[in-house]
Amino acid sequence: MATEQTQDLIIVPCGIHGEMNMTYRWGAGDFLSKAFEELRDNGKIYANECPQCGRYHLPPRKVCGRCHVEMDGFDKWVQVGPRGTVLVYTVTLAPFLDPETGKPRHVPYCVATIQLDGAPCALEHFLKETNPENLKVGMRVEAVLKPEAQRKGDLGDIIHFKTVQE
Amino acid sequence: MNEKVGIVAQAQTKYEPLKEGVDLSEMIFDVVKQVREQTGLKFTLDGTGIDSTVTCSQDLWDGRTISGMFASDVAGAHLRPEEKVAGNGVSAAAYGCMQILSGHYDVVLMVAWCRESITNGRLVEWMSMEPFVHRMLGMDFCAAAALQARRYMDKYSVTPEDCARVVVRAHSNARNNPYAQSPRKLSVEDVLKSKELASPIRELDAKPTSDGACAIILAREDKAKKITSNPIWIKGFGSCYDAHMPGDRDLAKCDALVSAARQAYKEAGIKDPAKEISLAEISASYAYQELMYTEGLGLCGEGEAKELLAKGVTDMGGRLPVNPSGGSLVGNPVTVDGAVRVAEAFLQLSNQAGARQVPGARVAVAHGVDGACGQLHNVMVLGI
Repeated sequence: MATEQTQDLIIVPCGIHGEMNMTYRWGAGDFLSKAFEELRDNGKIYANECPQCGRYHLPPRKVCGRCHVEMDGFDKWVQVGPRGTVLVYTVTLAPFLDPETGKPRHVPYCVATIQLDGAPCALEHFLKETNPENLKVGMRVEAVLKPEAQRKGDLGDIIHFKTVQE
Repeated sequence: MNEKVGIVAQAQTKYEPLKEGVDLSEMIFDVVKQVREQTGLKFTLDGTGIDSTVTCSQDLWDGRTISGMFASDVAGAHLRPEEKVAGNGVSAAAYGCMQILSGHYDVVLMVAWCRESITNGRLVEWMSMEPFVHRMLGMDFCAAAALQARRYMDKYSVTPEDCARVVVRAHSNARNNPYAQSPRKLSVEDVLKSKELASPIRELDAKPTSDGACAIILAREDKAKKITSNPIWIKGFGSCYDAHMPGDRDLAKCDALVSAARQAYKEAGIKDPAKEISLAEISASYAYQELMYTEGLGLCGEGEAKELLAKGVTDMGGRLPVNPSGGSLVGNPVTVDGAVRVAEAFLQLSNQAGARQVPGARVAVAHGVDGACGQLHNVMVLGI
């Protein structure tokens, strides 16, 4: 990267460019792996329940932070969704990174916290609807999944949640 | 120190070059659960259990900004206090000790973790380098250490064979350590034949990529005595930074370590460390550093560590064993290595070190380090 000369001072842009990308390979562990496999292979969304305090985790987690106990394997898994209720939402207008492409994501896009049917727990995801006129807390939505052949085993297998009339 | 803080439990994962697919949270939970079960302590807010958590990790290694945040649930910080030390585990343990000495808390959990395998460690190190001079040179910790190794070896006539002997001993000691990453039966020739990374440092002179976690529990004196019959006391602590620019220092010396050690020994009432200390656990990422830091800790004079090594003084069975665990040269992740040094000192002094036990150990020194060419040194003296 070229050095910039401002009016008086030199600024040296210094980061990682080119072929040597700084990437991370996070292990998802057995719980999140199973949750993503269920989404990819069976189109199902799961949450799990702490056997001690009854709290639900979405996506499923191995440890309940409140009780500091491990879950009993995959016993207390419940299927949730695909429908749910919007708890909160925001429409983003300042473009930000799309990690899939490394480029700015197209605006506007709407991110919401959605209470999925089936258990008291919520998930953050995109809403298809981005027009503020049509958005409201409490609106009903439904997960739209990628076609099975295109699913990869991450949360992007849910494209977004679309508005449904009930 | 007027009041006493004791270490009452430790847990470590096995260190491995690649814990493929393992979630960082699970690795942390594994060691936290172990120390909780050993002590029977719960995370409480009423003063009956563990009062606070100190975590030890680095953002760029974890790929997470403020990398203590994702671990709050597994580290016992659900709706509870947690403070993060972005440094080495000796520093984090000392921070926990100070939380107790300040009167804020009685019982503190310290947990350190890193999975070096998940990213390009050379880039992480490069990102810590000074941006106007050293980044342009493509300098990582290995290249920086190579400059220091050359200077140290030149000044004190330390040979590559001397450094290779450090590696051979590290692997030999590590064979007695069930947590050790991959101890090998090595000869000096094996080390000298390994690939050169940055002259004079060879592949086997350098610590390997490592994944793992380590937890300890610290407690105020009265509570420590209730939790276990043999708490190990923190007798003194010292910390000292050196200049960031290697060119500002004489790289043959580790002045910051000398200063940190002096502070720790003064607090612990140690006048002659070479005589009074039973064993040392030293953080060294490259073989020459183990020699250099043995000297910096005052366990012998400048340039004399190679003689101690040659005479077997710092071997198991010698008068002052250095790194009975094998140390980081066999594989301990950065940020975790300091914690391991404290945990191993605890095991030695509480006579729980198994096949690597130093008989009759009464006083141990645990050393932690951060930055290129050992910019920050932390020294903790522990005793029975």
